[in-house]
Amino acid sequence: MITLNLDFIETLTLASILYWLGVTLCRRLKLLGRYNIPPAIVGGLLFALLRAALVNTVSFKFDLVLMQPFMVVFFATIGLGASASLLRRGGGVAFKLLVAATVLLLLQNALALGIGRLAGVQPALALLAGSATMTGGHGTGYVFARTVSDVFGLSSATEVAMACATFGVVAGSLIGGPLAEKLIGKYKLAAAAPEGEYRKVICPDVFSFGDTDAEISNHSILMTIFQTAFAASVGIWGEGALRNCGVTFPGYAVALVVGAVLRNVGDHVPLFRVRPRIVHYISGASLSFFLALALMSMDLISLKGLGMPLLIIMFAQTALMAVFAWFVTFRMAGGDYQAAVVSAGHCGFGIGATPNAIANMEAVCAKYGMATDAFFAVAAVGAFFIDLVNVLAVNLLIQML
Amino acid sequence: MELHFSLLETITFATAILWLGMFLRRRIKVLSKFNIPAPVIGGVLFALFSWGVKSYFTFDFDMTVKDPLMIAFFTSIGLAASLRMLKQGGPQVFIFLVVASVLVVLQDAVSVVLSKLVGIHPAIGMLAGSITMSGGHGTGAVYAQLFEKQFGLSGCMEVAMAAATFGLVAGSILGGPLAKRLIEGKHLAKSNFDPDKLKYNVSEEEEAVNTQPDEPVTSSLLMITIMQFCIAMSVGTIIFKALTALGVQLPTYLCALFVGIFIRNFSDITRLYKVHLRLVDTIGSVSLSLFLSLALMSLKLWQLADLAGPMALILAAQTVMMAFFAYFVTFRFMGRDYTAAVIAGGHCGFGLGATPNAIANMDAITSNYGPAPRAFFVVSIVGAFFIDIVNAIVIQTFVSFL
Repeated sequence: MITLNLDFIETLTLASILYWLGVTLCRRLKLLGRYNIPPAIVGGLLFALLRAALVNTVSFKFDLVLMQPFMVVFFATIGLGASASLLRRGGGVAFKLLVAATVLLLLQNALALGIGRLAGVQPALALLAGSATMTGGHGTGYVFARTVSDVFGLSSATEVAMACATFGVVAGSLIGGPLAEKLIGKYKLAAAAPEGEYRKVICPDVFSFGDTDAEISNHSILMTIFQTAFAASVGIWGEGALRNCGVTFPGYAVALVVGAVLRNVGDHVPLFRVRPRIVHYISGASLSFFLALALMSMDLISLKGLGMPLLIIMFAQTALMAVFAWFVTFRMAGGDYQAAVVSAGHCGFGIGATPNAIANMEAVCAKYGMATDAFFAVAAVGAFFIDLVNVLAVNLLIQML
Repeated sequence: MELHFSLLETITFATAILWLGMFLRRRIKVLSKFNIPAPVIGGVLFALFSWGVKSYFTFDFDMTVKDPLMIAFFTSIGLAASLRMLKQGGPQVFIFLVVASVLVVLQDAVSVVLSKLVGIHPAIGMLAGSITMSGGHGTGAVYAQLFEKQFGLSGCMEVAMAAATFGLVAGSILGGPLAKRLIEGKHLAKSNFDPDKLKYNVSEEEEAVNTQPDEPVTSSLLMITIMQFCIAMSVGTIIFKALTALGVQLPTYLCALFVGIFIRNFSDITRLYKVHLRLVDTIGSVSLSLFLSLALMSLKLWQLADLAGPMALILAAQTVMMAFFAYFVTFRFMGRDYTAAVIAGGHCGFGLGATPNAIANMDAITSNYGPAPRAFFVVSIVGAFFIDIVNAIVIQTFVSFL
């Protein structure tokens, strides 16, 4: 038995190589690219498989000192993206979508707990197959899994969360496009599609919100690092302070809220302006590192035996998503072409992640025409605001269990 | 009372200090005129503050990322050092690199000799040599740390920062008048001087050298650039350990720098993958700023008092030598023409201070006497990375004789 000890730079090196491997595979294998599986997941899973195969010959020891900072920083960046004016830009649709997504989030948890009870899965584990990984994603799923495994002593929690989140990403990509096509066909919306060629450039624009490359200087980067680190450290510090008051509230959630406050102050005070594009880069890098590190240190073997019940919950979640998007999201968003695009997006982030939502909407728009407001609404709600709601809601649920 | 700061809190604190530095630099003309780096301004202010409250509070920071950031900065120099660029720059770049390297050796020789004369440890003297003169705050902080460990000296960091800051100021003051004397004394100014034609494009020539324009930045490109940094740093550490086992003393950051050079030039030759220059540059300077402010946060200014006399002597000697060297050596070897005079002015800037000073000096000269795009090109290529590599090797050689 060989033990490989990696110090923290070597651990980061391995994580970034796995990410690169993931990017390369996603580019080469159409299947992975089409479902928008995050590259860090692909690379990390491959390594986890390798580890499981080599379990008797080589053991790895990683220095994960940076994992928690990466995680908190990622949530802080979500907060820093949650601009009220972005939500306003999405128009009334954005607000209605937020309401619809919140309702779905509650239904997802009810469904997961219900089936979990019938199938005899511990409620805490079943909860991970609810909105934590569905509306959430790999990142949110992982943190809740950590809480669950700490509080309830369930060792396979992180593996369950990662499996569910990956299933959700694939399913979200699969159902979104066809659902929108059916909606458009049934209600004859194609003719009503607004004029205007679909442009690919709009997508990065949604996140950068008018921030140009030229504004990226060392100064603004360091400012943004300051804002993120500030939100993150207030988050960690706040967790301790709240615990002293007898309230259990995780640090990353505090960081998210602090980030959101910073962003909305910065929108009005030029001195504290937040640069969305740099935030977006920091967010992407820290999530990738965090996911790669999380999956690298994951033990796949413990998933055994949980397969069947989880699979049932997953299929039920997918069905729920489709039905909900068809009957609720589409109606609430106004029942027109734009609403169909929003529904496709909701399928993407409702059980997968925001990149799935964007990809679904791109596919629909490339065929029928542009729906700008839909992009803004889904980006604002899916990438930022619903995460805020989700983190708060799941935390409350965990306290009740 | 001791205040503890966790990793994230330390970074928050360091960036807050940086921000204060940037803010003051923008408001106070003198600071920006001499190109004093923002972390130095903020760091010195914080050092003064912590000196003032020393008896009530002490600060305890988590410095886990300090050394990795420093290594990342050197890696970025390696990743940017394309040998092809050196070749395409033509003979002038090469000549200037040799001239500047000679000065590096002289600076170290002067500081070692003088420190033996006045009876301070030669390592302390060297901190006022090429480490902070041709180098700058970054190199200074690295070696100060190293010397504190290796020779058990205290106050190194303070000496290095003081010397580097003095260098910045002296380099800025010296360059302009020197070039003026050269140009007016030898009647080199362009005769057809016309202020309207002063608008020239420095980047034209640089773009011709930069054969592969950078792609737009994306998140995955950022991750892949970080991967190149991480690989260079890890492989550098492995080489460092292997060399130590063989009995060769080569610091980790130099190993990482060489791996960086290899990664860059391997990509230039084989074109199998790309190194994104702009990202490398940005990550490098962000790391340097963070590293400097982390390093400066623990500055103990009161340790500077004993060393003030000897340091002043060495620094004065360095300044005089720089002036003579630029006047007699740099100017002659660069071709005795107008461009050579501008380069001499630029050399004063980075030979004592840093590359931004050199650029500022040359800007001031050319706006008086006419454009010299070649000078900008030569000085910035040599000053930005190649001289750092030479400097690191020379310092290492000197240290092994101490």
